[in-house]
Amino acid sequence: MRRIPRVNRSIDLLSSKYASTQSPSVCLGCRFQAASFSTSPSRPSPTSDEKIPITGRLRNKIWGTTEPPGAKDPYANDSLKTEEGETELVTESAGKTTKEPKLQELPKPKKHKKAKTWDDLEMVGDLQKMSLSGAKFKPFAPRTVVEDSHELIAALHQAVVDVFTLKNTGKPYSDLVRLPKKLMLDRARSAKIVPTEDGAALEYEEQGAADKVFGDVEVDAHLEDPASQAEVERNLVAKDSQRARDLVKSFDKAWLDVPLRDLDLKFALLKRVFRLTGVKFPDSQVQNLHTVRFILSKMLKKPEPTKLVGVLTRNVDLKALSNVSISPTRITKTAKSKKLGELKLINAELERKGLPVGVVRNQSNKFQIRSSR
Amino acid sequence: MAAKGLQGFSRGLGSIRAYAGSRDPLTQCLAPVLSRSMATEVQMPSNASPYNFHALTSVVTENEFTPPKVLTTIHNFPTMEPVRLHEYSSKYLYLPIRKDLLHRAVIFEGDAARQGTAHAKTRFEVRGSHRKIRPQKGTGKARLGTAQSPMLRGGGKSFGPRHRDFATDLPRKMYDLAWRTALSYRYKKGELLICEDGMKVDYPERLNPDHGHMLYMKDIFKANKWGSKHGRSMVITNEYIEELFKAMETLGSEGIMKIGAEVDVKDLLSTKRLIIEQSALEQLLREHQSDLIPKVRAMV
Repeated sequence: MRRIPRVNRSIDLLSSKYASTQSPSVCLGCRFQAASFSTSPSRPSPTSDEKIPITGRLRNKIWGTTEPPGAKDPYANDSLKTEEGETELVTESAGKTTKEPKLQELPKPKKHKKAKTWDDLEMVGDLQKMSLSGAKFKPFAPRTVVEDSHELIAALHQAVVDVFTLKNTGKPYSDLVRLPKKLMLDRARSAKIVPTEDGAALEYEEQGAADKVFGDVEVDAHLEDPASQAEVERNLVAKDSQRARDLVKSFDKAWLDVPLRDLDLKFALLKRVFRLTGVKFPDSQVQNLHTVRFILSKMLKKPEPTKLVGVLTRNVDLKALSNVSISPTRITKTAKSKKLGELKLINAELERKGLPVGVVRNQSNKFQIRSSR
Repeated sequence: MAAKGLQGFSRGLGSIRAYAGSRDPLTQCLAPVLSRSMATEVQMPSNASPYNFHALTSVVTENEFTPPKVLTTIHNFPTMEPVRLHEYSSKYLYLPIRKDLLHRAVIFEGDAARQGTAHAKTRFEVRGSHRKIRPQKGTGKARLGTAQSPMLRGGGKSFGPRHRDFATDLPRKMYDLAWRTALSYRYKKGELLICEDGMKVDYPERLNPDHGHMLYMKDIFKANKWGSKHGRSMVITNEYIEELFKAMETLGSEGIMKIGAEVDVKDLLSTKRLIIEQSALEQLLREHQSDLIPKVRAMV
């Protein structure tokens, strides 16, 4: 026996039944040694009549009664039933109890065949389109600016007809936004423009056409079949440059001299032109647009090239020289050998020898040596 | 006045020639007949000449060279539908381009923005003893004093950078004039787009605020041709609008969004165009008009 008792277990620090005794026959070690006990859970006695599980006994102990409230077994199927027998989720109506839906058996998949290429596979779409969910922004002007000169002339003619129709019928210029956004053949040629001192007079082909300015729009809006409406618009739209050219030939040139003294009229006309063609006039030029001819000259004027290659390609004399070629980028050695035709011979020889053919950019835009196939 | 003088002179020459031809000794001109007139003949304007000054003035007025007021279009954001026209004085948006003023203003702002915290220790600031590290004579080596000498490794820097204030001065009126010159430059080139007050974007409800709003803003920039392909744009608002600024946080490649108080002359000239709220523009013009409005002295 040790002179100084050492504890093997922390639980031995607890006082034992012999600690309080002062009998000299009990040694110190035994006095302070706790009785051995088992830390494993005890098995339920087989002779117990009640056969209450451990969870039940715990519940009894917590609540202090033999019949505690709540479910006896929280993990049983009838766990949600209260003492009254009513379920919280499953409603009983007319004595019928709804059963839980059975799991539907999924159809067995067909024999999976691993695809070697992405042909015929379902394309899901890119992340941006999925994120926008079809919610595309609609600007006031068209996304692509009209560049064809005949289409521009036809659009300007249509804009003049629209604006003066509103003015002559006494309607506000704000109604212009109700008109169709597209260049319409019938609208552009519906009236002959005759310049006057105050503005312009319109000679319509049909009687009462001035009152039907918004009639076409309403009829189109009520068409049930969107496909037929699109077809009607497609036939009317002067998108083809040939159709626009024919339309422009039918115009009398006097319409270009229509004066634009009224500022509101000028603003409405420029707004309509912007809506139809996407051509916007800088604010500093608005004051100097005195007639329709001024507007047309600005519209038809091509923008100055921003890069040197644009300036050089415009130079007719330079283009005529047979020993001069203009390239927008630096001409590399590879480009030169490609033009000569020796690059393909070099690559063929490299492939034959099994050597890397060249350097390409991979998906992460980094240079990668391309091996021969 | 000059025309009348020339007319008189040419008439005088004609009369001299007329007299030169006469053989009457009393009226004969003894001066040599000039084969060439001394003055260059000017074709005087007449109704038959192609230069009809009266016709020109009826088309081009004086006001068009220096108009007292200029027109600007107010747009709806973000569709950019023109809503109305608004006038501003030409002293605000139609000033002549003064590149020297713009240069001075940009340099002035750059100087003021400098931190000026670069600082190199001199031999007097380098930590260490000031003991003479080896004797003056007898070592066979060069004479040396302290270890902090700039000639030695670990020593101080003789004329290194010192922390200081790099800000320079520029007369306030010059700075304000430069500010308005920058705006005028943008206006003349058609790169100043003014929008109605209350700039906001009606995002579709089904969009995710984190990613969807940014993509929708990117689409706005693409549709209006404001993005990186068209030189980027700067959007200036009067106040901080969270839904706009948050969407633009990660779209630095497309454009910048700032409030009026944060903008300076360099920002006005940096991107290809400015999209500015009308109240923000008027606030900027109000703050930078010291050369137009005299200081009001308080009456004692």
